[in-house]
Amino acid sequence: MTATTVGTAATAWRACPIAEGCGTSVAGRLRDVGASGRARAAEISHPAARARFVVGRALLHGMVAERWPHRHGPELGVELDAFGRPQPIAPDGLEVSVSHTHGLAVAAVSRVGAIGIDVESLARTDLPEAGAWLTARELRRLAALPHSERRTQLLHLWVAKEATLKACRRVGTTTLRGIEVWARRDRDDAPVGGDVAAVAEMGWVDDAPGAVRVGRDRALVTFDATDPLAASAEVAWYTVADGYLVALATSVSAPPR
Amino acid sequence: MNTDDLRALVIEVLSGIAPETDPALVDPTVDLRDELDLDSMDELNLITRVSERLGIDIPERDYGKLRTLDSAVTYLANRLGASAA
Repeated sequence: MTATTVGTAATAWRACPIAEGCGTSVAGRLRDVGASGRARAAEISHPAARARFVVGRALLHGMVAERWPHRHGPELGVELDAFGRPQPIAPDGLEVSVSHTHGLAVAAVSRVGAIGIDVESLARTDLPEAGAWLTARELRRLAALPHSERRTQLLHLWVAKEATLKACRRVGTTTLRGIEVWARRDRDDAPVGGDVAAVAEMGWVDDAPGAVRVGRDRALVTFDATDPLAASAEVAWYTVADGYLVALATSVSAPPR
Repeated sequence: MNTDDLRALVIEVLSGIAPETDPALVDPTVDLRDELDLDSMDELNLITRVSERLGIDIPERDYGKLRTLDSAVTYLANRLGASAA
């Protein structure tokens, strides 16, 4: 699978297999990541980690360039999030996000607000101990599931939380346990997918070719114990490329602080 | 437990998370994600396993302090009041 042109959607995301480098060798992709991307790539000593970074960054660069055609070779910056992890930043109010796992890179851009994306292999089994990153309610819901469904549910929660962390990083600093993903199917009063659904129906969201949306929910975000519902984001899950799970967090809303 | 013990412990845990590499050969000043091809999930596995082995709670807001081998050892030593080797 190679990435294809998605157009000028306000919100879009794409996926690209690392091995293919989106049709170009990973080494060849280095020319597509800008000076800051090349500098960052030089810092990454592990070949596989460097390849993932380069492919993800090149994918993101291409998407940004399509939306800012007057900017030849747009330069993306990097900022560290609350956990010291580098996150890309783009000029002119464009919000961007990137994620990669073994075998696949994904990138997302938005002109309509914050965005966060995360990807994991559905085959992944080495999930961290749930108590370290799930809320008490999430743990209870997990315990109520049949054993056969728990790993998949954990993967959904993991990518949703990682995507939400990225989407909300400008609003405030939270933690994995500061984010609670609602169980829409368990709550009749849960808000329906709001902006994500509306945007998708109006064709403003371009999903990666071949991606299948498998769920949608809202993530509630807490920044500290005294501010129990500080923000929320809409999360949509997709399966893509025969074995990967992607979460896209958008439509971040937060009360005035 | 002194800082050498802590370093050995972190390397041992890393060996289980990234078995195809040799954590003992990493540059102790460089981000472990870059050196050992760790992702976010690996990183949390490292922290939870070290936390469990040492019997301490490591708050999420401190995770950024364990990004390199040296910084992880320093953080853990401070938490435990460990002596230098």
